[in-house]
Amino acid sequence: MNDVVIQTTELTKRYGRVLAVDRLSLQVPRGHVFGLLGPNGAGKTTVMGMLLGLVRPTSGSFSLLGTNGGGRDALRRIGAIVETPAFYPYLSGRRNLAYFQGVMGRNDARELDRLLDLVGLAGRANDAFKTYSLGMKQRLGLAYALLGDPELLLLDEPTNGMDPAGMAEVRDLIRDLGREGRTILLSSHLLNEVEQVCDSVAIIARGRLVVQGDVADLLRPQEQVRVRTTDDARALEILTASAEVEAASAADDALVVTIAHERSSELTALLSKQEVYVTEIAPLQVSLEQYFLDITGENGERSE
Amino acid sequence: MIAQVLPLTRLEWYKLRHRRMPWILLGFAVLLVQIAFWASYALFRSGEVAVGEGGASSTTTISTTDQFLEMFAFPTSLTNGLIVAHGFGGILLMILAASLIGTEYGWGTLRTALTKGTGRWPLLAAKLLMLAGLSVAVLIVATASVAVSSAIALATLDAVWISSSADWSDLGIGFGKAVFGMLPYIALAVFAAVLTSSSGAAIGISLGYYFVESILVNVLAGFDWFQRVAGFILGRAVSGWVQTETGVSFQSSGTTAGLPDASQSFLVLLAYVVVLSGAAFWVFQRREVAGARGE
Repeated sequence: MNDVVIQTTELTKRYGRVLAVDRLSLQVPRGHVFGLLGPNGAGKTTVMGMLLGLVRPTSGSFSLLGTNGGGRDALRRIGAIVETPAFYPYLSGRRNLAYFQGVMGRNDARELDRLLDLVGLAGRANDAFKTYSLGMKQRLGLAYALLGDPELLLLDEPTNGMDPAGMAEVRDLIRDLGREGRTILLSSHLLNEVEQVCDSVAIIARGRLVVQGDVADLLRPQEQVRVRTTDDARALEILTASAEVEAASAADDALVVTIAHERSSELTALLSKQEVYVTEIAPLQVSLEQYFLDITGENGERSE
Repeated sequence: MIAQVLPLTRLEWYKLRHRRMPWILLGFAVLLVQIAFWASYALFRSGEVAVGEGGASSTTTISTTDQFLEMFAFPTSLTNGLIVAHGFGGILLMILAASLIGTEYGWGTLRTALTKGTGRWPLLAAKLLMLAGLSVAVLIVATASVAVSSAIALATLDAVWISSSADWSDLGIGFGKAVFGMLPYIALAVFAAVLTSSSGAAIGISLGYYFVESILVNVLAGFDWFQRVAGFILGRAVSGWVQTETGVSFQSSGTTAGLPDASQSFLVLLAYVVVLSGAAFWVFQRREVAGARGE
């Protein structure tokens, strides 16, 4: 059994002068709920489109479920939602699902009942899709993605347009699907969503991979303290040279020092030995959002 | 490949039959052939009618019951109905074909279908196959409605089920020709829809071509050079293909004089179908698929 379900190698997509995806190399292990995190316009949907054969890569390669370049056989083992789910507006939710089930060469009314119930649409199954709210459309999209019990799910912003309760339900559902052993690639620009649902994450910005790893490691709040001393310049030299300190930098009229919280008291002793005295020290709370903005370089540049 | 296309064709029908548009267009087809039939009936009953023969039209007086029966008895009435249905049906099927494919782009449902592993080639082939089937259905329904009207018309003369001198086999041949004569227009609309990814633009291009071509054929008819290339123009080739033995054409694309013969017309139409469909498949296969465009 192949342990890597999705592998991209130097995957690149260029639209004229715009580089949407830039030499992206990812590995999604089997059974993981893998987050593809990035701000709007980072290239997440383009990556999904290339994996699904909707968008032609400019260069690079990928394999899906052990098949180079994906292909129809691989796609039949995949369930996907890309952006806002699109269905026939004049058909009911049930008839839409029945149509796409037929496209897969299947005809199973019980599966339709089960999926409509699972996503909470059983009561509106016979209403026309055009009467659905955005949240209901997302739910139908999830039911569509689950048709045929796929082993891999590609979900692009699956909670987009949902109210908080709906988002929580869908996240629970995704977690449950992950626990069943399915591999899930979840694209999102919502940090808390990725943090709550995913095992591992790749953060992309401007089409490039910024960082990849376990969610617990990458998205935990950084442990930083804000320090003011009698001689900040000298203190910065001392702290930068210290093995106990992960990072130190000057910010405004103070220093920002990254150090494990339980060891922050050692700072005072370290500096006083060098005759630099701490006048003020306080933990600095760096939010996930701040961290994300810092790491993607979007801080101060975002218009959305 | 066929094993995959046929179930998809059935599913295309599943989607289409729940839309109002095909039923409205079918209603229009029936309405138009009925209007044409009863207008002719009223003219004949009034005693005056314009008849065309070999491109020359004149006004003559129909005064005998025999002549009346010849026009409205079976199977001549059905052949006449087929002629009218073919003319209007081609336009209606162009609209339907453009809508069928253009809305897949507009709604974003093409992407939804393709992500379930549906091959692009079989998907487009299924749509074309269903449209070809619909052209048969439109002609059958329209001609059947003429049969009912014909029976009613004959009953007004206490002459029900009288046969005309025409051969029933002509009706079958005419039916086959009418169906094949619609295919280039369907292929044109499909190509326009795939190229523009828009039902509105595709309808505009298809109908625009149909009517502009008809106008140009009449405007340019006097030029010698035009006569040499006229046989390769779609509307003229359709007219040449479906013209009846009396010289009255199914099509109204210019004068019936100098139409290409049936075999040349067949080859020209076949070329149109192959080239337009081939181009549509090529574009459909290669084009990247985006989300809904809101059309």
